[in-house]
Amino acid sequence: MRLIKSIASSFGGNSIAQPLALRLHHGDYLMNILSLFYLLCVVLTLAGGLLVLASGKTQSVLIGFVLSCFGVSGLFALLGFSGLALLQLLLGLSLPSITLLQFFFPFSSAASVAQVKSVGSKLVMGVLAIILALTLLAAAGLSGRHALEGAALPGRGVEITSEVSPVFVIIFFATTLLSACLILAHSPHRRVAANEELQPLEKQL
Amino acid sequence: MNEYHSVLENYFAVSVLLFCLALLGLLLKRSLLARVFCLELMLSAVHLAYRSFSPRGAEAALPIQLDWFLMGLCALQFLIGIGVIALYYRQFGSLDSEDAQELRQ
Repeated sequence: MRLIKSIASSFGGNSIAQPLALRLHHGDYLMNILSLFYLLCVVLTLAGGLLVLASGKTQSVLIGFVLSCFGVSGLFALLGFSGLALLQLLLGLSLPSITLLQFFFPFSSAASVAQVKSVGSKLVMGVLAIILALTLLAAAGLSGRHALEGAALPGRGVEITSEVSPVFVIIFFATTLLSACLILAHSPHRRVAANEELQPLEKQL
Repeated sequence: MNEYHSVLENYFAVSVLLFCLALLGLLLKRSLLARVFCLELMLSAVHLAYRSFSPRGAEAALPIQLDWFLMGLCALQFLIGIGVIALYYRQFGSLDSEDAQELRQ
């Protein structure tokens, strides 16, 4: 335990954990836990990066990416950005899931999604694109407003909460996942699946 | 102040290391899927560096909405990338970037 603590402190764990522990009005106990957590996050981040670099299998790349995202998420949490940590965590989980959906799931199971007719799916895709564009525009507009306020009131700073609204998080990730489903629905694999279904018939003939 | 600088150095070192690993992966890996994930890791490293330079907690002076922009960029880049790669895979049956030479012809 002492060895781990000394390693954590040599990586700067104490200097990161101390302000947090003081802010939460706790003593050495919390500081030790936080410094170990910091060490774990650093190890996860770099080990994930190494796994992505060194592995030959796609599954290992995905696992490495998830590990690295977990590490970065923990570092964001230690920096005090809890909303950002949640976002990073969700991003780290959703992107490999989309990849798994695209490449590894049997595509015949996505037939119900693929049966969406073109007009309806185009409408849904349009609505999703508008929601995503509005979210991004709102983000850009708000950041621009804050930048202008900051410029207008030099020295006073801008009051911004570090928390992200959960509604935005839900909209953002629902949009991402639904877009992935729509990519699946529009994939040319439908034709492949249809050919596979026709093959036994051809043999019979 | 020194303590703040040491914290900054540590976070920056982690982000630089992650960025270098991802860059190496981008240059050395042949799988297109691995390359997209390396790009995402590079973006994560940049995001970490950006946030490590900003003051923490309630005193955050940099707009949090910029994080939204970065995250949105990350997700959109991935979605477009994975869509293109999935179509490529179904066309050629391979994820090897060497086979992508055929696209030039």
